[in-house]
Amino acid sequence: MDKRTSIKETIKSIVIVVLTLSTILLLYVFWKDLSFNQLSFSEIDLDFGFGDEEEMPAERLVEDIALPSAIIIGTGEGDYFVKTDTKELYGSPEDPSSLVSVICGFGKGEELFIEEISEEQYKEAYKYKSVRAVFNYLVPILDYYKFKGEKAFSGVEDVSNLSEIGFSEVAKDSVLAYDAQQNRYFRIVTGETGSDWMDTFFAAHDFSEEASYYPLEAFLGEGNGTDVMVPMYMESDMTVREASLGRDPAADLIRAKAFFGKTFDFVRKIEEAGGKVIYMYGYGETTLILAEDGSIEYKAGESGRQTLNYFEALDTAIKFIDRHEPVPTGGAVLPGIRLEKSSIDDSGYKTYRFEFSQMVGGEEIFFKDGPSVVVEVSGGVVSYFYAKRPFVAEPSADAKQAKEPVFAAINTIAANYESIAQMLGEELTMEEVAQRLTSVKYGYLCEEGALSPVWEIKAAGLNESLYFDLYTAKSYGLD
Amino acid sequence: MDWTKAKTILIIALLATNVFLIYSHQTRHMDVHETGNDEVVAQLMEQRNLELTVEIPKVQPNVHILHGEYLSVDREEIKALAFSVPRVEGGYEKAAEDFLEYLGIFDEAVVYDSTTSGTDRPEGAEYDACVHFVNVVDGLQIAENFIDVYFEEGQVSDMKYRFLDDVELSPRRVETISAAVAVMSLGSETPGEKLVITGIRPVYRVPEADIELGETVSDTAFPAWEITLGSGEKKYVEAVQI
Repeated sequence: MDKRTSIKETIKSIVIVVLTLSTILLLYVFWKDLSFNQLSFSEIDLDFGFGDEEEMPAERLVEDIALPSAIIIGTGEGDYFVKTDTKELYGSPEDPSSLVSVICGFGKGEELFIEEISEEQYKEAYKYKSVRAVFNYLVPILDYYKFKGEKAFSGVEDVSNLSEIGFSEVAKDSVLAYDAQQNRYFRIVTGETGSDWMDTFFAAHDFSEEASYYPLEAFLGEGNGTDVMVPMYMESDMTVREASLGRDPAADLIRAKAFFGKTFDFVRKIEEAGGKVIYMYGYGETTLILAEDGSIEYKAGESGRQTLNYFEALDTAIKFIDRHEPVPTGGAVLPGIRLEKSSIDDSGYKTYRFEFSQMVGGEEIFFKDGPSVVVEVSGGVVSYFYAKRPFVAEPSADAKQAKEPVFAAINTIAANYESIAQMLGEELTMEEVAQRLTSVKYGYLCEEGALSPVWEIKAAGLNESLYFDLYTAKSYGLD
Repeated sequence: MDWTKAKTILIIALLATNVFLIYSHQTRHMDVHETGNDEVVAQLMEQRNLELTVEIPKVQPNVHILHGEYLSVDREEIKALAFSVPRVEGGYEKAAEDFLEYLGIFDEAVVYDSTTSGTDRPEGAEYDACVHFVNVVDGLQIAENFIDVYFEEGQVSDMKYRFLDDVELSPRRVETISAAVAVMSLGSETPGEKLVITGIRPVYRVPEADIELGETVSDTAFPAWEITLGSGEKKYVEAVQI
């Protein structure tokens, strides 16, 4: 090959490379439907769908979210252990010895005998060595079997909605259940559960380090107070943690695109002076609001035409949450979620409303302005979604690590009963205030960019919860 | 194998592919020229009680969606600069443009529309003249967007505005519905009512929102057909074809 031919061939090769590259670029422009004057390197987003699998959050199952709000372990000696971080104790449905397997499996028993018992009998049984899972929402047990594709034993439909379920050593062959909707108590003789399972459970878990809980009545005398459980003495290493609810405009755009998908090109974006950003599709039918306080609210323009059962709808809600979770930055963590409350509107294609609580380090996070994660599934599709998800920083190195005694719950009530009575609008003694209490829990209050350890107290007749510092009993927001 | 020949064939094939892709892409982004039957359209208009005194545009523009920030000028700055602009010598239009230049807001989107002065002014007007500018982006006016510069005794006295500024165009153009469809859709909204249409043109417009909004600092404008009725009233029909 002479020199001239060699140069010619080299030029041809270069031209082929240039033309191949330009063909690829043109195909990209054509595929993405970009106009040439809009083409810039920042526009080129080479997303071929090969996502980094490690970065994709694992899909959560119904069993990971539909957990009991508390598991109460009775020692048989008048005191109890109350576990609000229930995930570990509840276990996995794949583990046949787990609490969830036993609880959810009772209806599959071949031999099943159900009898209704009185409230007194039910409460008496739990005074003995016992384990009880308490749900803040109603669990339609038949729907669970349908959802799992399993056949339920006939007769189990009497216990339509579980609120509590557990075992006691006084009825070793039975499951005890409470249906709060019907206010009915049941003893279910299964022949499959009982002492073996209870022995295994107590052998597998050590509660010696746990704080002992007593009903309020035990502190105030019989007839004074409710059966709300509070710890007598408790130590905690909970400390104030930074919690960011701020927004990042770049992340906002990615999140908004996830809601609207291919229609995002037609979405109207409105920014308000306060920082609120509204995305709107159609004529305000579908809206997404990214508010100043870091919350996100989505309203779909239309509902579906499919009737789902409770757990199918819950599964739809969880998958929706998973797809729209924000990604924490700077080493912060996103709190886990747990089903806290649910309601069903039976009209039309059924609308399910699910409210979720958030947990960090096993402790619940409280928000003053109501539920922090809400999903409504209407006719099989998500019609409403609200989430306020803080990014929680790890405790700083100088934050205290050692456990400290907390201000006892009963003393917190004693120190604040007058202001609680004031909130109730009545002059009440401490005993009278205690009788009104419906819940006393500890956790973190999310407020002003921080999570603060608190006691959360709820009382009948009060729409809002009251919060008191876990270590000093100083109130948050009360005079 | 004859590599020289193979390379030549490959170059020709790649060139042909590129030409085809560029042509297809360009035609996709060109405005659509409607080829509908005028007689059928006229018949449908009559059935819907619509009377046209203008010809319906035959072009359906493929346009961008716009997002911009609303112009915001400190009132104190307007007052302070009003005195800096020389008294009207080159006419109100020139003085108003100079004023907008001083404010740093005069660019290619700010297009002079009209001047109202003398007997053209509405009754009770407290100004000598008003110079009206409109907002034009990508060849189309953004409806209901304006800057009005007022003059008193030959000097700028005030400025009123609603103006989507620093507009970004969507990466892609969107197809629009035809003017005929827009007019008929307007006719269906007012059944039985005779509408005389004296003007129709494509514009951009920020749609009304069904939800309550606070003070808006930025918004999105979509293509729309602006239909002027005999009474002078302007109606808008959203034109994005989804």
